[in-house]
Parts: sequence; structure tokens; C-alpha cells
Amino acid sequence: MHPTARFRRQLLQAATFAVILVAVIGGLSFVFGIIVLQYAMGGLVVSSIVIVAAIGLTVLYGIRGFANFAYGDLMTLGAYLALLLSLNGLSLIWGAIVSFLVLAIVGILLELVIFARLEGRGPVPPIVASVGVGLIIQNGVRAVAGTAEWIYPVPASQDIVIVSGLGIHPVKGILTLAVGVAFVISAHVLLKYTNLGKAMRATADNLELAKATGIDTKRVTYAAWAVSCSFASTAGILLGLGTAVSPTEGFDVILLIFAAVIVGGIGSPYGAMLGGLLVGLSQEMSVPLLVWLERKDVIGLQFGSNYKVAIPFIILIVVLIFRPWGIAGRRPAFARRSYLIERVARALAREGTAIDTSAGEADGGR
Amino acid sequence: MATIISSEASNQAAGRRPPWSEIIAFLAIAGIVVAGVLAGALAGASPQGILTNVGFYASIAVIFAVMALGFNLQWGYTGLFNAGIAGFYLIGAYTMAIAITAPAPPIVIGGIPVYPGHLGGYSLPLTAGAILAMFVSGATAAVIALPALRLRADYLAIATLAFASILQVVANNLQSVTGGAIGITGIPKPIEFSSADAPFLNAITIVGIGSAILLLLILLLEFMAESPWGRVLRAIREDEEATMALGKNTFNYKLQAFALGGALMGLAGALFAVTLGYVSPSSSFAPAVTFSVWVMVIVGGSGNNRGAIVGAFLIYGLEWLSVQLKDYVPIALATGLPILRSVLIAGGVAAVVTAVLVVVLGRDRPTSIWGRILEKALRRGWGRSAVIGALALYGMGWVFVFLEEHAPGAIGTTIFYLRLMFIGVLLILLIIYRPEGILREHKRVLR
Repeated sequence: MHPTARFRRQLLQAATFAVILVAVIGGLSFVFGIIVLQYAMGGLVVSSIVIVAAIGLTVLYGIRGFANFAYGDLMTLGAYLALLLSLNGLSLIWGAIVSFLVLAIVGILLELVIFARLEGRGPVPPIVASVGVGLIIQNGVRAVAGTAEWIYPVPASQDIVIVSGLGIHPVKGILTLAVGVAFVISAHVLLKYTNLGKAMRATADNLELAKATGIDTKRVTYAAWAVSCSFASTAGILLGLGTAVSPTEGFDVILLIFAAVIVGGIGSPYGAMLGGLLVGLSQEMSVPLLVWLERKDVIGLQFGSNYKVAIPFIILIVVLIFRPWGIAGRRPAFARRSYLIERVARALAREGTAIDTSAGEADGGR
Repeated sequence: MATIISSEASNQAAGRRPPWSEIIAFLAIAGIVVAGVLAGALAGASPQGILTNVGFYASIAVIFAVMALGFNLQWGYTGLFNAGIAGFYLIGAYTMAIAITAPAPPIVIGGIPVYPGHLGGYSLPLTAGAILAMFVSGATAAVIALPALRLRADYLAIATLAFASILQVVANNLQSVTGGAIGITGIPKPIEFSSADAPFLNAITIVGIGSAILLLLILLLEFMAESPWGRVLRAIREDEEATMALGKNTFNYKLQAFALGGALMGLAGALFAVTLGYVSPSSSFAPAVTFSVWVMVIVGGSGNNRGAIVGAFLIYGLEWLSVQLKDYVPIALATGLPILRSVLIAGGVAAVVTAVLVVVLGRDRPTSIWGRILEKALRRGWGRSAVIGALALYGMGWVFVFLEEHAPGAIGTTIFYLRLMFIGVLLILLIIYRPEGILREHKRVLR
């Protein structure tokens, strides 16, 4: 394998990012103690769930060009399917596999029945339809399974203590992390080394060009739906493992996943991985800061840690202002800059031209 | 000559064709109210109780209509998709509550805080509170839209959705401002009645005030839509690049439309706070509110103000009816299940026989009566809508039978979820088959 210049540059960027991340976390834990590492661990676990979901969402977003608001509810559906199977005697692993496959079929059906009819009508009609799908799934689950929370039938276990004060749960922690890593690797293999993955990347990049080179974009679309929805099922099961399975578990995290997708750059699976890591880590690691803000002598914020869900939103807004195409996405040729930046740039340009003209006059006078 | 005359006559006939969809919509609203009244009467409510209930329906429907008008301004006219209507609604309600209530200090009993208190207690007049609510909501809408307006429509949708769900968290947790999970109570009514029929009189006052506001709003919005400003908004919706090329600062127009729409949603929130007399971070501000407003505007036809109001009365009417029928439906189902099932089976057989007849007889003979029926059922917009509606009703009938057989009495508890599922189905069907709505926007031709 001959690494291209682009590949080497990406590798360098990834390595830089990793080093900065490790340095920041290490520095923080050196200053504030081992508790920071515990939060970072929690953040990594959340990230691995978010990354699985975000890859699925972004693949579909890139190829079909709309934000699937039903994604969270598809996660819920996957979690409940696995729950149903595991309560009826199947082991959770088999339940997860069956749910993975069933959700892939559900995705293809959704495209066939609903979303194929909305192609070429802009981004809003599919969003509306996907909200409809989400409402049906979420309330269907409520009507059938009730609003109570369910726990997967997995053997109870204690945290494994690594150092005193730093522990990790074998199922909620290690298993989730392992599944997350496995999905990242399999997504990488799928996208980089298979014909389908290459076709998917080409279609996401430029639909017309992909068609012109003879790619069966219809098939690619179905594959994208299958991949997207089956990733959703696994993410939903992981989410349910971490806390409990409830009808709104997916809808409650959809914001986090959208933030990861947009931060990473829409349609870019590698960006989604980066975005998921950033969003998940920052959400969990903001907890000690928010708890600190709760103190009476600081600002006395009540229930500070509940605000952690706002952190991804803040990151999202900042990214929308400064880099709407995402931190890893490619800047479109005619990207409009955001309003504030535009204003600042214009003001600077005006100043610059003023200086230039005065310089020119000075030159002319000489 | 004869052909010209006949074509003119047919043109006139087409021009004078009765507005069927509007008549049907009004009949449906009337039917909803009658059904609600009947359900109340059968459950043994007093006439006054029933009237109060209808008044409650009308007042909440007016509130939804104001919200639908706001969303119509944003989406119907300008093409800006707002997924956080509930958030602006919440801001309006809380601003109103904070502005007009009397001071409410924290209550601590035996060292345990029972009520955290809330910000404000300024006892402002109601109009000042409403104006403040509109202003705060509109300003927030402008700030939220600022980073997302230059980007594609879905960025705005995601940003507003995120904003609305964060606001719910804030309302729940920022106790010193919002009163936490308990919320803000004791919001004064426009007129305080002390007699026994105070709830009824209150409902009537609210409906009166709301209708006046609605009338004013629709006059104002129609005027604005016809003005040059409104024309620019519609031009942006149709083709933003072209509008830019004509030298319009589309960003400013979009910002204005979005902020104005947000202000209307804030006004709706203010009305809601006064109507209920309390605000709390409950399901009143859940994302389902946003989705209901979407359905209302899509049903009414985006870009059509009157349609938005009709849609609000229709869709909220369905929600209200589901609450009214909640106690009655299980009893009726339990006794009438065999009848319902035989009706469904007979209807299904009859429909299948008719469909087969129509298809077999009409497929190869398009000029025969069967052929024309087939043509109308498949090609015409309303024909297809009728077929789909009948199929949906039929399916719902079987769902009811199935549910009642397998889980008796479950309908009563799940009717709320069934309603939201129904809204979901409606969203999908409308966006696929009737994106222009049931009451369409009047096509404006160059005059």
C-alpha cells in the first residue's frame, strides 16, 4: 500500500488531534485529580454510542441529502426489538443481530414507501415526513410497550476498579467501547475497501457525477438506508444498556447526534467520528465545571449538571457561525460565510482598501 | 362561435364552482364540536360544563391559530423552516407569567423548600405583558436564526429544534427564574369573576379577546402579504438567488420574517399563560406542539392565512375530541364491538367488490361510466385523497377492533398516543400527496 500525500496529511491531523486530546485530559487530571479521568471515561463511553449513531445518520444525510429527524426513534425501535427478543428467551447478542437486520429492512422499506416519493423536492419535505415517521414509531412503542422503562436482562456486575477512584463497568463501559470501536473499524473497511463503500462515497460527493460513471445510485441509496438504520439499532441498544430502554431514549439524544454530524461536516463519516468524540467528551466533561458553578460562592446555579445537554448545542452554534461545513468537512467553493464573519470580513476589507487607496495616492503623488 | 360560447360558459362555471374543500373543512369543525358536545352530554355533564368545555376548545384553538399564523409567515411565505415553535411559545408564556403575576417569594416549610419562587412579580398590565412576550420571543428568534439563516433550510431546523429542547431543560431547572417543575401560578385573568359560573365566563372572555386578536392579525398579515414587503418574502421562497439578483437584501427580509413569526408564537404563549392561569414545563411545550402546528399549516395550505386558522381549529379539534372521547370510547367499543366488526367486514367486502368491478369494467373502456370513475379515483387529486382517507379510516377501524380484542380497555389509556401517531400519518400523507394543502394558496397572477 502506498500512502498518498493526502492520506499522510490526514494521518498527521488525526495524530495531532489525538495528542492534543490526551494532553488536555492529562493536564486537567493532573491539576484536578483522578476524577477528571473518570469523567473522561464516561465521555468516551457516550462518544462511542454517539459515533455509531452519527456515522449512520451522516451516511444517509450525505447520500439522500436530508436530516432524518426519525433517527432517534429508529434507535428506540431497534432497542425495543432487541428487548422483545431478549425477554422471549433469546440472548441479547442474538437479539441485537436480529434487530440489526430487521432495522436494515425497515430502512429500505421507508425509502421505498415514503422517501423515494419526496426525492428532488428540497430538504424540508423529507424532514417533515421523517418527523411523521418518528411520531409513529415513538407513540407506537408507547401504545404497545407502555411508558415504563425496561432493563435488558444482562447479568448484574460491579465496576472494575483500575486505580482507586477510577472504575469502569464491564457491560456499560467496556462492552460499549468495544462495540463502538468495532463499528468504527467496520465502517472504515466498508467505506475504504469495498466497491459499495466507494460507490457510497462517490454518490455522497456528487450524485450526477456518480451516475455518469455508471454507479447504480438507486442501489447505493438502499444500501445507505440499510447501513444507517442498522447502525441506529445498535446505537439504540447500547444506549439502552447504559441506562434503560424507554420510548424517548432515542429522541432525547437526537440533538447530540445532530451536533456530532454537523460538527464533523455533513456526509463525512470520518468527520462524524471526530464530531462524536468531541461532542460526547465535552458533554460529559462539562459536568464538573457545571457542578463547580452550582457552588454558592460562584454563581449558585441550581441543578447545574442537568445543563450538560446544552453543551452540544453551544458547540453546534459555534460551528454554524465559524465553520458551517464542519471541522473535517471540505469547504464548498461557494460557501457563504456566516453573517457575523461576513460583517467582520467586510469591515476589515473596507479598512484594507482604504489603506490601499491611500498608499496608491501616496505612490501617485510621488 | 358555439364553441367559444360553451368554453366561456364552462369557464364561468369553473369560476363559480363552490369551494368544496372549504365547505368540507367547516363541516368537519362543526362535526367535531357537535361530537364533543354529544360525548359530554352522554357522560352526564351539565350544560354549563359542556359550554365551558367548548369554550376551552375555542380558546386553545385560537392560540394554536396564532401560532399557525406565525409559522405560516415563516414557512408559508418565506420558506424558513422552524422546528422549535414550542420553544418560542414557551418563552412567550413564561415572559407573560413573569411580567404580570404578583410577587411570589419562595416557600420554606420546616427548612424544606416547598416552592422555589420565581423571577419577577411585576404585576404589569396584561397588554404590557403581551407586548413584552412578543418582543422577547421575536428577539430570541432573531438571535437563533442569525447563525443559521445563511445556510440550508435543514440547519435552521436543527438549530431551532435544539433550542426548543434546551429551553425545556432550562424551564425545568432554572428555579429562581421559572419556578422549576412547579412553574408559575396565580396568573391574573383579564377580568376576575367571582360568581359560581366563573370558569364559563372566563372561557368566554378569553375566546372574545383571542378572536379579536386573531381578526386583527389576519387583517394585518393579509395587508403585509399584499404589500411590497410580502412580495419580497414570497419571491425569496420561490427563488432566493433571483431575489438577490434584483438587489434585495434577502438576509434582512428573512430575519424580519423569522423574528415576526417568533413574536406571534410569543403572543400565543402569552395568551396560553392567561388562559390556563399557570405555566409549568409540562407537555404544553413538548415538541409535539411544534409538529401539530406543522400539520395545521400544511392542512391549511402553506402561504394561506385563512387556511392556517382553519387548520388550527380542525387539528386541535381532533386533539380535543380525543380527550373528550377518552372515557366514552372504551364503553362504546365494549358494547358495540360485534356490530363494528360486522360493519367493517361488510364494508370491506363491498369495497373490494366495487373496486374489482370498477377496475375490471373500466380498465379497457375509459369512456364508460366505470372508466370515468376509475379515472377520477386514480388521477384526480381529491379522488385519490378520498380513496386514501377511506383506506386510512378503514385501517383505523380494524386497529380499534384488534386492540379492543387483545387488550380490553386499552384504547382509553392509549388514545393520546394513537392521536400523535395519527398526526404522524397525516404529516406523511399530506407531504407526499397534498403538499400544497387542502385549502390552497390563491395563485397570484400578475395583475
